[in-house]
Amino acid sequence: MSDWESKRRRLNHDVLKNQFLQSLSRIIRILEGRIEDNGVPKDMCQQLSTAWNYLNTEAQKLLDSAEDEMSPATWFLQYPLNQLNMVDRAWMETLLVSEFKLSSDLTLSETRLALSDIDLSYRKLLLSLALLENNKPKTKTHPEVIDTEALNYALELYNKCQQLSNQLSKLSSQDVMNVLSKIGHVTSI
Amino acid sequence: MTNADDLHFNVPRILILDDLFGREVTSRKNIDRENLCAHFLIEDVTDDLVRIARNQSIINPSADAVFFRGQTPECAAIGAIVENNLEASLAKVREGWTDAIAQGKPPWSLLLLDLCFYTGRVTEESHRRTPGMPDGRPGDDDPRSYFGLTLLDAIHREFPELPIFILSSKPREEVSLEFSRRGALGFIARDDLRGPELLEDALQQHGLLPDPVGEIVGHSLPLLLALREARRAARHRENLLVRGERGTGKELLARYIHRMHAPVQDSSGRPFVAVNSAVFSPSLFASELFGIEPRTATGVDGKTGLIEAANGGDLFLDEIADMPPEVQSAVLRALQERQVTPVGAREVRNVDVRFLSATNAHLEDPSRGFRSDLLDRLSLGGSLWLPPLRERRGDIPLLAEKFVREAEASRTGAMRRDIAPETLAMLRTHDWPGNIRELRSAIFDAVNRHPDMEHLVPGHLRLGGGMRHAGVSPRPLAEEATPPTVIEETVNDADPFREWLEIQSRLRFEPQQTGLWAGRLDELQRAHYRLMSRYLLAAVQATKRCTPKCPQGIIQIHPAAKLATGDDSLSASKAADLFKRLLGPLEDELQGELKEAWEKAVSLRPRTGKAKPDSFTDVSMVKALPARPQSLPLGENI
Repeated sequence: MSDWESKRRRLNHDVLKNQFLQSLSRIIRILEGRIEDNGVPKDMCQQLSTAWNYLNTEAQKLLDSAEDEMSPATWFLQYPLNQLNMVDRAWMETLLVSEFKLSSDLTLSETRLALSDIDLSYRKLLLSLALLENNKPKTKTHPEVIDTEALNYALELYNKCQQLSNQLSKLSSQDVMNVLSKIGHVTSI
Repeated sequence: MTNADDLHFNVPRILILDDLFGREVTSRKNIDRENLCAHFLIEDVTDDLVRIARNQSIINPSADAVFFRGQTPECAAIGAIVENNLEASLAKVREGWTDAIAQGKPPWSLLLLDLCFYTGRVTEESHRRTPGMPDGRPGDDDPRSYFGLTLLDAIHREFPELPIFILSSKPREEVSLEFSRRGALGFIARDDLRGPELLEDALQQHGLLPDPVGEIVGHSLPLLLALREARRAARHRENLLVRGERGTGKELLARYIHRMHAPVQDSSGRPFVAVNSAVFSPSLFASELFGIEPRTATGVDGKTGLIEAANGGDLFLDEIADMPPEVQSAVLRALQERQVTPVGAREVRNVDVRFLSATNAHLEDPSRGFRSDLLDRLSLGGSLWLPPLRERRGDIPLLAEKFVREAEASRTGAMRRDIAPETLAMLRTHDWPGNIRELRSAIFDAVNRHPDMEHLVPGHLRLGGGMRHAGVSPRPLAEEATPPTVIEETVNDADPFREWLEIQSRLRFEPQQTGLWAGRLDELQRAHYRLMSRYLLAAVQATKRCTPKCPQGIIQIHPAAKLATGDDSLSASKAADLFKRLLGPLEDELQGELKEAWEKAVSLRPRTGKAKPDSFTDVSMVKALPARPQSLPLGENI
């Protein structure tokens, strides 16, 4: 597993699912009234912001390097494809990379779109939580009145994060044989 | 001494083995763990949190959670090397399983196990990402070599009864075959927003949970396994058969099944009707089971039958082995057709009733005369087995504590007492052939005879056959002893007199000896009546009331019958009937105090006023009556 692949898995598993989504889930539980609290505490919004900034930055970096890292061109730097003679290597690499880009371009643009969608939902949620904070009663009360708007934004954000997670899962280096078999299929027609 | 605070462990306790959520964080709370608890609505009760104030309060948490990292060190700073620790993980599981069971505490209800455990050095970068987490080594994140799967193998091998679920944010399809092969029961995705519902479902279906309302007392493994089977069975509406030795609490289990059905269908208004099958007489069962259609012309009052009364809910048939053949046929018909026709009615009525039956007999034995087709119908949804008390000795301290408190409450002026450790040891070593009912009787007896003690010591207990020792000290009592109150919710799947008769039956003849006694069964029957009359005599002597005018004591048959049967709810007329039934066959040879008791019984219930067979079919009296009021089952047993 390459370093980039390892980073991608950890970003998806550790940062997105285990940290960001869990922080968001806690906010959702408070907004649902299943945790006794006087609104969503500021430190939780702060925690969510920190997690999001880190996730967003790392995800952007990951996507920026994705094409290079995922490209089959990297295989030609490693054994056994690095043993090919230069003539074969040249045409084969060009062909494989072109084939790869057909699908990866679409996947990458969908992932970027998912990321920007999250950014938008995240800002809406923060604004809604800030309004909630300003309007909350001075005394601590049971959250009998659930703020539907904030809850809806939080649920929307949660769903979009899950979509991003699915997209990130698709961003793995494709197996060389997989790509080759696609080419083989094309030429046989 | 038993600590009252330890009496009820009714909240499920789960163990979560996970490197991320189990880790300790230097001088800070583990925010990720707090978030996870909020996500699943569970209460963090891990010891390492005692120094960190908690700032969230979960409303109605579904479980208490203990977290463990499964690695060393538990608290890692930058530069530390983190390694997986199989032995420490096993020790943690053992602590809440083997050790807890040995100490009479509830075992883990469920284990949630992570898959990917990162090892290696904690770097500045990895610490910045997640405080205390290492950078990871090649293979840590490889589904073929997850440490979680190694743990699963080892834990399942050592603790095969412990329910294990995988809790992970990794793709389920990567590992579903592997974890299933290795004994995990399911997979909960950490990022699934339905977390609380998924966990609750896992707990209800697979967890080892005590009775949440504490009606069924105990958390020994055999009991928890039986309760789990009951919960699983409760999810459908098929008929169920509860099996278990006498006194194990079969009716309580039936009530538990009834309650546990609630999550599937609203239980409000769903009736639970309990009846002892032995009370059905061949002539009157139809009106009891199916009811009576009112007739204005003839003035016949209407009556709702038991089956119709249980419509939409559950009908509990206790002691089905005693169901007469005619009744078996009628019940079978009702089961097949799901319809009843009240006596005198022209139209059938549809009913939706789940039959919950109970027996301590081997009904498959053809010599018992129980219809196999009826047995098949009654156990369509399965058979549930309740373990005898000797197989759940760990529950004895809890049960003893409960019964002591009940006995104190029922005995005016009784002191609150502790149970001495040597008493508990004694209770735990006894075999309890009469199971929970016998334990309860022994404790009530001890509290009644020693109301003013601060400690329950071994000398207060009379074990091994209830009334067998009642005549040992026939001293006159200063005041009438208050026999124990029968609390229906404790153990009420048969009446105490029946229990007593069964104890007597065990004192008699082995089957292989019957050949020697062939042709002399009548003599044996009479001999047995004599034997039982000795017990009545002991009860009579123990309950005599001494007055200045009559220092030798006045015979009181009502308290004597209550003492003999252990049934405080026994009425005076029933007590007289009991004396008449047991002493009647010996009338010509009675002497002394027994004769006097017999005469008192006859004067209270003259021959013309014999117990009417009809009255025994009154459902409200089911629990207070012997199985066969007109003919004792002694001949059969002999």
